[in-house]
Amino acid sequence: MKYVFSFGIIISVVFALLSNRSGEVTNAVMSEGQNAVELAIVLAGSMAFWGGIMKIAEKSGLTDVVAKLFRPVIRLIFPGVNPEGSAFRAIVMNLTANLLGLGNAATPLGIRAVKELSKEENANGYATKNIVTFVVMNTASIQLLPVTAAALRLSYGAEAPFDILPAVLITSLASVTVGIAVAKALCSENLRIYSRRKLADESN
Amino acid sequence: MKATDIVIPIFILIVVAYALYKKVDVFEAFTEGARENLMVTVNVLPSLIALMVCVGMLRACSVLDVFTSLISPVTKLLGFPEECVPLAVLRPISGSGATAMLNSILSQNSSDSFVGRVASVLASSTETTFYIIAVYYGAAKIKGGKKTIAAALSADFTGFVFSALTVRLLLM
Repeated sequence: MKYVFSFGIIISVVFALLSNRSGEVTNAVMSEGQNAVELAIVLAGSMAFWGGIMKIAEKSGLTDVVAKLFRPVIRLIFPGVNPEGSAFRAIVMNLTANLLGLGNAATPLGIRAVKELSKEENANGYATKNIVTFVVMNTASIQLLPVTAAALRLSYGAEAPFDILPAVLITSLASVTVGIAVAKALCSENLRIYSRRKLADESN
Repeated sequence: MKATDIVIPIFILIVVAYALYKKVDVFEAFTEGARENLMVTVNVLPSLIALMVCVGMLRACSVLDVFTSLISPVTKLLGFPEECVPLAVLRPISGSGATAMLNSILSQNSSDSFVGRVASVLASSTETTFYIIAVYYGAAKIKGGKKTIAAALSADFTGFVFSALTVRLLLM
């Protein structure tokens, strides 16, 4: 991520100087920080609300019930994760929230899942195969209903705004599958390095 | 649209009702979860600022427009509508930007046209890749992410290709 960030800035400035858009870029620098804080304030209420709801679900055992339902699928995608552990539960909750289109519930759950996975796998800030797979599943939308696009289509007079649903489902399924496959393929050799590192840590 | 209006209230109802059945202190659980999530929001803020500044700069210097016009000939060959290319480039980078772009595409092309439909499917089939990676890894203090970005972008790319494919095969 550090390369993306640095490259992004360098490319922007160079390009801006070349195309005489330094004014716009300066404006962006000055205003985007403020925009980010405003965005965070706007989101904080919604995130807090869903956090509360999810905590209720957790305390009542509802999330465990749902986790049991999804257990076979999750075990298939995330080998080696303890089905009784908090990482497993967080993964299930995050994926469920994503399916239901609850982005503001999904994000904190996703962060928790990554933290728990990192702890459980002794990863020490390293992106293990399960972590990469999980994050990639979050970046490829698994939302069942394309609410935003449908709302926009409706506002422009579409008679059946949700008729894109089959196309969206197939496309989402395809992109998630490819994402998981590539994640697993890219990370497979690292299991050797990672387990070597784990052995080194354990012998210290 | 009716379906989505019902889903969220019913979901909340199920959660609260089940918790009452299980004799959970709903209010206390709620405030505890809310407090946790507020902390998450605060911890996310640095990564969010970094990302939004970066994205803002990229969009301001119009490098994305140049990139789009560079790859247009290729996408034309693949049967991918030209008007959707800026959306495809923007979608992994900025969620609000993508929504704005979808809005502008729909305002210029009928919602039922090929272009309108591909744009709608595309916008719905992938999330804001860089935002998620930056925020999740930033908050959980995970370093690196090259493999994650590579895998995520392959997923996004598959999404683009399939959005044109499925619309062409299923809806037109």
